Amino acid sequence: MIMKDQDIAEKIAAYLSGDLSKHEVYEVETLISENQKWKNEHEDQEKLLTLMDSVSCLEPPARMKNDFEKMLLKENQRPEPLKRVRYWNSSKLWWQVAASLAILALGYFIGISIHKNTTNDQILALQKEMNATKQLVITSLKAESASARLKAVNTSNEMKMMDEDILIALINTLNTDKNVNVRIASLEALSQFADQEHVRKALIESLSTQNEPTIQIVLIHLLVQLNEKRALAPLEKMMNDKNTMETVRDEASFGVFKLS
Amino acid sequence: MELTQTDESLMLAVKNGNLSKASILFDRYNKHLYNFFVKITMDREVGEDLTQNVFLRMIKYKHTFQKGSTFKSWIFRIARNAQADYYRKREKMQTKDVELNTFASDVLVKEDELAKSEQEKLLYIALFRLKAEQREIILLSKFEKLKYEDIATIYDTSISAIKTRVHRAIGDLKKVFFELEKI
Repeated sequence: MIMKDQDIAEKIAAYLSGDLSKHEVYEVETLISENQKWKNEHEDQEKLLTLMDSVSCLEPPARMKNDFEKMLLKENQRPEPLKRVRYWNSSKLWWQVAASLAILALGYFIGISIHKNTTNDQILALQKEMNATKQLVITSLKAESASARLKAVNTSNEMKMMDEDILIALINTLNTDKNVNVRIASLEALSQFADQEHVRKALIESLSTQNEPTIQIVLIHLLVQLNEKRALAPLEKMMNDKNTMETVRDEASFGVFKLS
Repeated sequence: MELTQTDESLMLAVKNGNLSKASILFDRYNKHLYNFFVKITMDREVGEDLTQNVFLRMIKYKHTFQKGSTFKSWIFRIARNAQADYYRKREKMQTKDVELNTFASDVLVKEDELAKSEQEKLLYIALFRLKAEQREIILLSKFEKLKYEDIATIYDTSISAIKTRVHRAIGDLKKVFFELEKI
């Protein structure tokens, strides 16, 4: 088999890297000893490899270690992600919500199976149930107790089909609720519907209005994950705002880095 | 104690929330990564930023490290992504002649502080005449001394495919280097 020049050059590189079998080593050594052109190729490659081995190793600046330690410290201080609170653990109200959802699901599957025979009355009853659940969630989002509001958000989070009115209520909760945990939970619920343009827009807008670091960080992560370029402007603003907490500014600059 | 711990066991500890172990990994790898980045970008500042960025990603994506994985491959895969993001940002990863010439001029300005001899300077310029992937593979294999199997994991390919790419890249680098030497 006749080898091309490039193949021979590669074979010599393999020889110098110690990647050949005994038989191939013999072939290459014979070639080098008998042919001046390949002898030169071997010498040149060897010279190049020696040069690469001798290239100076650069010392990283000492401040890098300090910066890293600072970053670790911040990371250690970061709160654990909020665990989702289950809503079916206490009050009567929430048993009602759960029961409504179960009835809804049951109604849905029954509806599918007996689709042809479904009467207008049944459809109306189903709609009525759905509206009742929706109203219950929306009303509870305005409840006085933070735990009731949190449960409302988590209930909405469990719903497979999200209603437009509930989304609007959740956006409102994200921007106005007094309790941080409720706001985070609403953000978590909304993140599942971020493919909807108005939800996404609301998330971007919220970036400029939130002042709680935990929420700011979760929002930044979410928008970066969504590769939402429109978040660049508010992120840059955040990055340069001296009133924003340093950790958040770091996250914002990382977000800008990722989205640019 | 620290010396006896493998990179992998340290990273698994980090994954499980023991972030202090990340500091040992930083000590073991920051020089490798810094050299890789500076030599691939010919810019100390960018090298520093990218090295920091890799360790930031190491913490951020710690959950993706799997038991049985090699830490070196995993961290250099992150490094590859970080530098790809950087180039995407700078739009300089192309190998068109015009851009190459401009970039080679950049290198000529910057390499004075990095290269200690004329030969080293030529080597860096020759490296920049190669395709981006060839440059990267030579840096990983011949400068950072990664094993073929680690590079194969980074590129998600076979060891034999990596060996061929390394040999070809050396052949091509040799050609460019000695052409430059004649000038």
